[in-house]
Amino acid sequence: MNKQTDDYRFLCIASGVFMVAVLGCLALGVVWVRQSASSTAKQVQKCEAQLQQKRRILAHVNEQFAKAHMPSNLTQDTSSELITPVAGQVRWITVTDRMPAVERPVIREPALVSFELALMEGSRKR
Amino acid sequence: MSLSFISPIRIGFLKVVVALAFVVLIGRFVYLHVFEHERLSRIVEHNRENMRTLYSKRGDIVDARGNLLAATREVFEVGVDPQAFDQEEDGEKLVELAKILELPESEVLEKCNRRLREVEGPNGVEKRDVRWVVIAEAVNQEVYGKVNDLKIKSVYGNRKFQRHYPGSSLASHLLGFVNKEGVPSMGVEQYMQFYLQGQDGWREFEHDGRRREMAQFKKREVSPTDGMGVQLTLDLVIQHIVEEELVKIARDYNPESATIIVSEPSTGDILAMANFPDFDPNLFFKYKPEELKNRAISDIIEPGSTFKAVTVAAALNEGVTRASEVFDCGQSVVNHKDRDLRLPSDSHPNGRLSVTEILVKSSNRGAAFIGVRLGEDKLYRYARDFGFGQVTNIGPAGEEKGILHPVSRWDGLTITRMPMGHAVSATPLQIHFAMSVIANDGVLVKPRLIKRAYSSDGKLEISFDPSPRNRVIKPEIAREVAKMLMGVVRSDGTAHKAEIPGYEIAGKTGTTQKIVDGRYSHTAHVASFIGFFPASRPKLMVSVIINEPKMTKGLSGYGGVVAAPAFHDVSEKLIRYMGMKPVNGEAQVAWKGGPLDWSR
Repeated sequence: MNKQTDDYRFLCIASGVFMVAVLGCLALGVVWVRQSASSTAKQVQKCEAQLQQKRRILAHVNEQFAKAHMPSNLTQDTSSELITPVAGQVRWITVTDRMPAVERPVIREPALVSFELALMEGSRKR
Repeated sequence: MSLSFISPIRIGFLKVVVALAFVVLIGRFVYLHVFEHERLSRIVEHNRENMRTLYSKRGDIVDARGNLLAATREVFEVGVDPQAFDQEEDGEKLVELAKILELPESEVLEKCNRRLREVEGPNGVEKRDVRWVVIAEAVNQEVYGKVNDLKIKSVYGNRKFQRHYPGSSLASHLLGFVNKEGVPSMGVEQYMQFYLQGQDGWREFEHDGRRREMAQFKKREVSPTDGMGVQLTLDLVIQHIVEEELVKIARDYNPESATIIVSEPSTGDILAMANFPDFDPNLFFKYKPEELKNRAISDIIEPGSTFKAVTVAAALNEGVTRASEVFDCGQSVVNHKDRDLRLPSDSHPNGRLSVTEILVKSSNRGAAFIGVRLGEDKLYRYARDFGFGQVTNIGPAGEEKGILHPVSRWDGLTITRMPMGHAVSATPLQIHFAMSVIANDGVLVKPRLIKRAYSSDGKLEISFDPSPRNRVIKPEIAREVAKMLMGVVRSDGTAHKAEIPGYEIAGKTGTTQKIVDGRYSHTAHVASFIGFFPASRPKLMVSVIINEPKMTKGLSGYGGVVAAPAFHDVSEKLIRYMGMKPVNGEAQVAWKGGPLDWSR
């Protein structure tokens, strides 16, 4: 009888300890999960901030790029380099002749040489 | 000590006190949690929670080839908290700061030491602490990085959006600007506000004791939607060519104003539109209101002789005359409805001229004869069909509709004056598009400035297609008039300086006397040349309008003298830029190197 009582007592204490342990672990788990969520959220926030910063830099670079490519800047930078193309540097190319009949677009006028190409050729021949 | 030694009264009293304390405590809890719950929760939430607006970025404006014309950038407003500024610790760094911000050192120093300000209070003038003085309004990321590197605690920046125009004054009148409050004030910026502005978002979050956002307690977030990009029909290079020519015109003739418009007749696409004087939208606040005006759509002028093309086209379309019919332009009077009307004089006497010659030599009397033949009602109807007296609906605000009085309000002489472009007023854009009717096989199109609006993620695109307004004249009549207008640039025409061999230039000069003190002035003119090429298959339409060119002694500011050479220069550059092939083998575009051999 006495042994049975001791067993019950042990069982009760063991169950209590087990429950406390489980609850403690759960509580710690919750804290851990919260902490993880918090650190992940902070990382996400950091990434977002970095992304935002990259976007800002990209916008800034695009703007600088656009500014540098303004015709007024280009002509200022290259005025001594560029020459007006001479007649021999201009070629009229009939695009339709070089394409299969099926792919041939309906063009009222044959394609033309680009200004840039003429300039590049001009610079080389100078 | 045994319990028997404690007085039962005392222990009873203690129990009551403890019980009462618990009752009070529970009562307080109940009071706070039940009765005061709402108010206290609100206070707690207010202290902990926060709402932040997530600002959307305004959309970009690009040209037809995707070149950036207007963009929104994030800049920093750099300022100082004078109360936190430590002269001993940071005083030396101010020299470097001034250098980075490109400001005078004395100015920066003065701002850092501006500790007190005077405020008008209820008890008179009071002195208060200054907590923020702006040192530089808008510095970019790069510069702000350098400012931060100085590590001056009291100097820091606040981020803000700023509209930026990389081309400075390029296409300024068309683009408009966004003012310092973020309100678009004119041009495409204002017209396309609905698409450009975007939608701000918001975020609800909790913050810690230092008011830092706690990412893990982010409650709700509505992301901002950036504004849509807007693509114009404008071509950056063509716009530059045109503006360069305006600079030259301003230097040579110092006019009151000048306008050049380039468009594609078949679609109505505006490839360039520029005015002198212009402005830099980045520094809009430095300019006078008259410099901000887009004169191409808001100034009204008499079209002058350019209107003769309308008169002749209308008469040919109605079949009341033919190209070869001859009129005696030596006569000074015409009989109309049993009344003898005095005809306007020509700049030099003309004898008998055919309808074609009337256009080529720009005879006022000849135009008056044709106008009388056409009659008031038809002349009015055609003028209206050509777009006079009504807005073109290009888009940006401020467009004038010009003046075209109904026939009932005409005086006796209007029928002889309107055919030569008097008694009617229009904007440069209206005149340009009236002439483009001839270049476009007789169809009036609506000017198109906006090509499309697109979202930055490419998911949404709204196209603005070209839209024809109405057929004004038959295609064969349009082609006939175009052929007649080619004569204007020949050696016997009024604009031989506009000729570019091989490119079939067709156009019409205009020299309008300005009305000064209620009378037509003999010295103040508006010179114009409106032309297109190649006449047999028009690709480009160019208008040059110069208001009051100052001429050197002995010269008059005629359209053929002032505007035609500008047209020539612009067109020549356009031909080169667009790689336009000559219509026939006689082409001599200013490709340097002598006569050309196109057969190679």
